[in-house]
Amino acid sequence: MLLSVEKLRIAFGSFAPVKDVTISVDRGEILGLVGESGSGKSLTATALMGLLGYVNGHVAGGRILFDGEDLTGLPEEHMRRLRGRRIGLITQNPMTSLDPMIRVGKQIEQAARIHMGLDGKAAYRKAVDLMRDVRIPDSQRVHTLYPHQLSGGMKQRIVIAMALAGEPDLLIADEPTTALDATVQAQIIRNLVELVKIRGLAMILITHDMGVVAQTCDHVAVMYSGRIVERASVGSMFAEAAHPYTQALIGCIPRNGMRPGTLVGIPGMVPSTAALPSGCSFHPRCSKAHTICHECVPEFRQFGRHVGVACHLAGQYE
Amino acid sequence: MTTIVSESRRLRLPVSVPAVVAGLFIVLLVVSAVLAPTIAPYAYDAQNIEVMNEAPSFAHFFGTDEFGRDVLSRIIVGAQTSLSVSVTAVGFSVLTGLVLGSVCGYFGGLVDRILMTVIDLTWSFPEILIALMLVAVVGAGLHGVIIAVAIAYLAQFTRLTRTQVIQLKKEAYIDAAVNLGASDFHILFRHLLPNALAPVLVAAMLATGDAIILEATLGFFGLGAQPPTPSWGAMMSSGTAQLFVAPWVIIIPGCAVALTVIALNIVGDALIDSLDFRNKAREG
Amino acid sequence: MSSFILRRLLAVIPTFFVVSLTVFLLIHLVPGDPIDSLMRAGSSPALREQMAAKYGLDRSLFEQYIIWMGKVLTLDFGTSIIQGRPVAALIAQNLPSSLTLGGTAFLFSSLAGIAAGVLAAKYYGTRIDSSITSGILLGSTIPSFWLALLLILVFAVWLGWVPVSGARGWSSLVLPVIATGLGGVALVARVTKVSMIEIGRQDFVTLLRAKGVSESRIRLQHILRHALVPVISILGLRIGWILGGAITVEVVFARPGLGSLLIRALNQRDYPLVQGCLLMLSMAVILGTIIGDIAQAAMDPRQREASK
Repeated sequence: MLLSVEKLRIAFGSFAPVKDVTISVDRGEILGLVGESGSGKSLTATALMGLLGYVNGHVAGGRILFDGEDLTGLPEEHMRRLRGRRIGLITQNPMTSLDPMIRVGKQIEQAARIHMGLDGKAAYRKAVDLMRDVRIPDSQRVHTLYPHQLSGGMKQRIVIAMALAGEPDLLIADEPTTALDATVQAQIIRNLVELVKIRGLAMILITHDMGVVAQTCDHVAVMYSGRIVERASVGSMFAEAAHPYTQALIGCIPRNGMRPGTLVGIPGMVPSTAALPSGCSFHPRCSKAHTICHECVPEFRQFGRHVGVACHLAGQYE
Repeated sequence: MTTIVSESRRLRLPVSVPAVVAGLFIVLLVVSAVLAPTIAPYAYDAQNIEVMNEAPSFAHFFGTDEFGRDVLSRIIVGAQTSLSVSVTAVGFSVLTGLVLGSVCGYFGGLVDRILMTVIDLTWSFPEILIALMLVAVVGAGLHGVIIAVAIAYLAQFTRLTRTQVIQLKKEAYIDAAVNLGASDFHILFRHLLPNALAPVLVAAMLATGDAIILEATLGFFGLGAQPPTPSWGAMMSSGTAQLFVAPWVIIIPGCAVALTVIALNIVGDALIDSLDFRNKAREG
Repeated sequence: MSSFILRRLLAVIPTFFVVSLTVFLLIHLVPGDPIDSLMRAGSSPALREQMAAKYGLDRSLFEQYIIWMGKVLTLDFGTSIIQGRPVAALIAQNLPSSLTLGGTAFLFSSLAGIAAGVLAAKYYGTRIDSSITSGILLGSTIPSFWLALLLILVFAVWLGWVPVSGARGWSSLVLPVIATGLGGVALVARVTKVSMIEIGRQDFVTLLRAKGVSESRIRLQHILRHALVPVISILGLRIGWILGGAITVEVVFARPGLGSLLIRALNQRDYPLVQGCLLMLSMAVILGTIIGDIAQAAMDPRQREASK
């Protein structure tokens, strides 16, 4: 495995919004990390990048094994050399992700200069090549433009090119298309998948869109209020989701041939991480909840090679 | 929720130690300025050739000046001059600013545009330059300083009031008053101004600090209080010649200015914080 | 960009008009006959009439303004009553010294202020930050002439490191520059700190970290660049304030300069000289504001675009 995260716990002081995250991803694979906003997916990404310190958080437990090395507790200077070089990040909002005062080409070059030791001409060529790879037309002209002169989709392509400039092994894409138009979303996702497959990268795709997961990912991990509640290969999850929350999420995907009025949402709201319900934190919204769900936190159990789930009821109906 | 709102009606001062100390200092200063002649240990203009330029001692806490006058007494009486000049000037400025600002903000249009152009123009000029221009017209003396300081700060209060009034005008209860057929005058003076007042008063507090500096500067140039009337600035002006033999004549009034201005700033900042609290409570 | 500069310069014309009108009216607002303000007391009636004719005081106020303005535009500000020399010559003689003091104090304000602001932002919430912040409060509340006197007392009289007054050599410039610029340092530091902190919270900074850019580079090459935009417009406004401080400091240090000239003229009721000095100082303030605006627009590509 290129990356395996074991029992990761993230805390701000004594408050731990992410309690127990175990995921792994290998080269050439795409792992979907799914959950509603506030479930802790973005914090997990921040922890993987080693950037928790900048938001006053810290890793309070567990390990992040990247290529055999534990990233938790790595000195900042060492971690900085990994960021951009071996792990690339694509953030949610391309409108605010680029430095508005610097030409976009230069921003792509920056990572190549820092990590690959490229000088002026080589860095320029690298940037133009990368822009072509992320399907930016007329890349030599775009190289000289400022972010405000580009559309949202173009900016996100620049962000992707930036993430690729250090030739990383792992890409973390945190809701890369949420802020974009639907038509652009599909193009960008297709482009990302293609880049991962061609370059043999590992990618963690953070999203709340089960539809995108079904089309792109190899494995899925579903997060709910700071925990992984289900982990499975895409095939088995969409065939037979074990956790009621996953079932509900899949139920939210609109499909062809659906009769009007049959699309259902999940009742209730994501609980605030500061005031979690007792027992399984999903139980107030769960249609199948039993007494035990109010009282005990369900343990994460493995069912066979490809499915793991944290639900008291899992396996009982089989 | 109700408790927050009712609490916020009273201006709740944050219990920060510097703010309390600064507040006490200002109270002490105002009281001693009001009682100046009674509490000053000597008459401010009593000359005594035998104790010229004497260093601070038990007889003269802050020493004496070139005429043997007691510096402490002159500081206390000078506080009266400096404070009354600054407060009067800022008072004029605030009143005029409130009227001009609310007229501009409420009615808008051509009057607003012309007035604001002029106001913006003075805005970019340092107050000392404006004050010097006005002193050139009115002539040296305290009345000149009051007019100069008042006009120098007019731009600030007009702008502030105007912004406040424009913001408040958009709020729903003003529409309600208009629909009920209230006159412009009624809306402006009964609804808008009282609500615009709080931030203007805090700004006035900070401006009073600046006005004390400006008064001291003009006084230092010999353009303010004329001898023998003591003001902090005038004291420093006459002390310059004695800088090498009697530095306390200059150091002490300067400290008085600096401490007063710092105290006003600290209290002003504390007020801004508590006002913010009130605004938040109103929005929530 | 060049059309933006042109537009900005054109916008000065009404400002210049209002300022010059104010300065012109000074003489007429002073109680008493303007001729008295233009001449020594006790001049002969014949001389008075000659003066009145020369300044066109027998004509309407509007005509007088036009005549005066025409002269000002050819740099003829009249003759100093007390010193009997052309005002323009007196200004020309004193201007270099003022420019040296003002320019150096401006540089000092900018560099020291930005450095202090960057440090305070870097150590935000620590003791370094709070000591810089209290220094800022202190620096912005001390009257600059008093600071000047204190500096003289400590460094010139007690320590004897620099000359007490005058304008000979660079060492005599040190104390006046500190006294003039300290208020500016405080202001620039405060603005720099606040905008550094605010910009440091933006998304693109996270992405720079994700790229592996070093923290010092992020601060100095990226965040500071953004933070400088508001700082520069404040500095542009501050040029006027520094001039104001320079007026008082020049008097304290007995340095030649427009400030000393103006204060002396005010005390001597030498109105043509007062008019000339005020006009020059006002022009400097206006010019400073424009330079600040243009520099700000030149720095930010979005504004550069908008102002094409």
